[in-house]
Amino acid sequence: MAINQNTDYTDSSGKRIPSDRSIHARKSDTFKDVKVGLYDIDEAIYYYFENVIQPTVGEGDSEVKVPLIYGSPERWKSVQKSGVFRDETGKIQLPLIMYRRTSVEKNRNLSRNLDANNPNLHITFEKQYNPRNRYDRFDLLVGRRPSREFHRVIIPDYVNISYECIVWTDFIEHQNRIVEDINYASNSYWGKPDFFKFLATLDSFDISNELEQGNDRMSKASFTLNLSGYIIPNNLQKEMDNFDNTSYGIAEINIGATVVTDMDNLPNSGNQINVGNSGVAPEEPC
Amino acid sequence: MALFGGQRDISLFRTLSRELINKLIDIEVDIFKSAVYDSDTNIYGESINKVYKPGVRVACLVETENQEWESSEFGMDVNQQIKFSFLRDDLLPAGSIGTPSANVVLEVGDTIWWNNIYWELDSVVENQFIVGKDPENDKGFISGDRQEFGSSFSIICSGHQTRKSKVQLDDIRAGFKYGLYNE
Repeated sequence: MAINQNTDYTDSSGKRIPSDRSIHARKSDTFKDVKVGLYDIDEAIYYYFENVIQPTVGEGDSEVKVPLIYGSPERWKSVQKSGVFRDETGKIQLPLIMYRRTSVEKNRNLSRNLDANNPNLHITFEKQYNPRNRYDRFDLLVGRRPSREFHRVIIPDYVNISYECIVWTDFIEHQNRIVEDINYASNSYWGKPDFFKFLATLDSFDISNELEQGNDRMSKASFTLNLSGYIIPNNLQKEMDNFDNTSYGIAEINIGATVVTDMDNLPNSGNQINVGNSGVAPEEPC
Repeated sequence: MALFGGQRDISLFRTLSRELINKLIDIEVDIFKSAVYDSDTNIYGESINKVYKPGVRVACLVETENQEWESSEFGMDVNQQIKFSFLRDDLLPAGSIGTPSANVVLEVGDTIWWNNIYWELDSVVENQFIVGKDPENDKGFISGDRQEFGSSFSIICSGHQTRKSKVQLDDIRAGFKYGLYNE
């Protein structure tokens, strides 16, 4: 990037920001910014429960899929839009699994150790397809070196996230099956296919089975799910740094002029093309 | 010998009470008793596939408390307490004392269907003796020293709203998709 000492300016951290707006403009940049938020991590757990673990219990002759909810929803959602596990009076029907995030702790073992005001450590990766390298005859003739498209992503914040999970069933026999399923899936990477995944671990289940007067018998198994996650926020501070998060390599064309004395003894080089004064490559022989 | 509480008195009370409960108030509930010999239990003392005896419809008095809404990590949940008061003679087998004759013995854990809710009985109280005597346990009547006096008149059960998923008498798993992915 060329630096114009007269018009470029610096931001609060002293970093030089070029005044050339064309560098900032991302009109043709359709590459989505990489963002991993807490919602993505919470949703990964939901997806994994619903589509991979799929806890079920036997009820009569049929298998019943156990619903999963995020803990402490709003009252209107809880009562009016949770019909699958409620009866007409609003009483919760079991079995049911609840999970909710209880803590987000920085993972110091994988600290990115950067100043958020001026992060200068990025992961750079090359996008495979670049529309600037579309095929044409000129490329073929002149041996154009293709342009390479690079994207920069900041190093994420590595975090340890804890979830409180409770399995609530009518029967211990149902609870057994669900606990077995979840236990089997622990210590593996949870998440959607082709998307971000997170290592999920759990250590123990706390089992309680109580019979209170005036209430139904209650069988609950609670456990803490620990996720090793990473966060790339989608905030303005990150965007200020990422003004040039997409860059292109230089497409190079080598055009050489060769003078020969004998037309029958032309140099047979793949990269060297005999051109006239106009600089236009001659037509390929048919 | 007692002056009051003889069988003519008891019959008067019974007739008036039956008319009141069965014809005037006329609140009917269905009593479902577990078929204990047909319901297999596991080592946890629970039956995944319960079997019930056919429901018996009986008239009674019903007193409900207000619904109690409790907020927990699972969202809002409702519970309600109830009291069923039965005329004991209505629950006796046919041929005992007139009709109705439901022939059912109420016990803790039985299920009662009323107002579109299943109620699980937490307690069964039989403690309302007219003139303080229950002929079945009256020493004087049993020994033949005196005639039959008094009566065990009512059975009062208290219970709570139970989950249909536990009772398993209704199909509650139908008709709605759930989840972000409509699974």
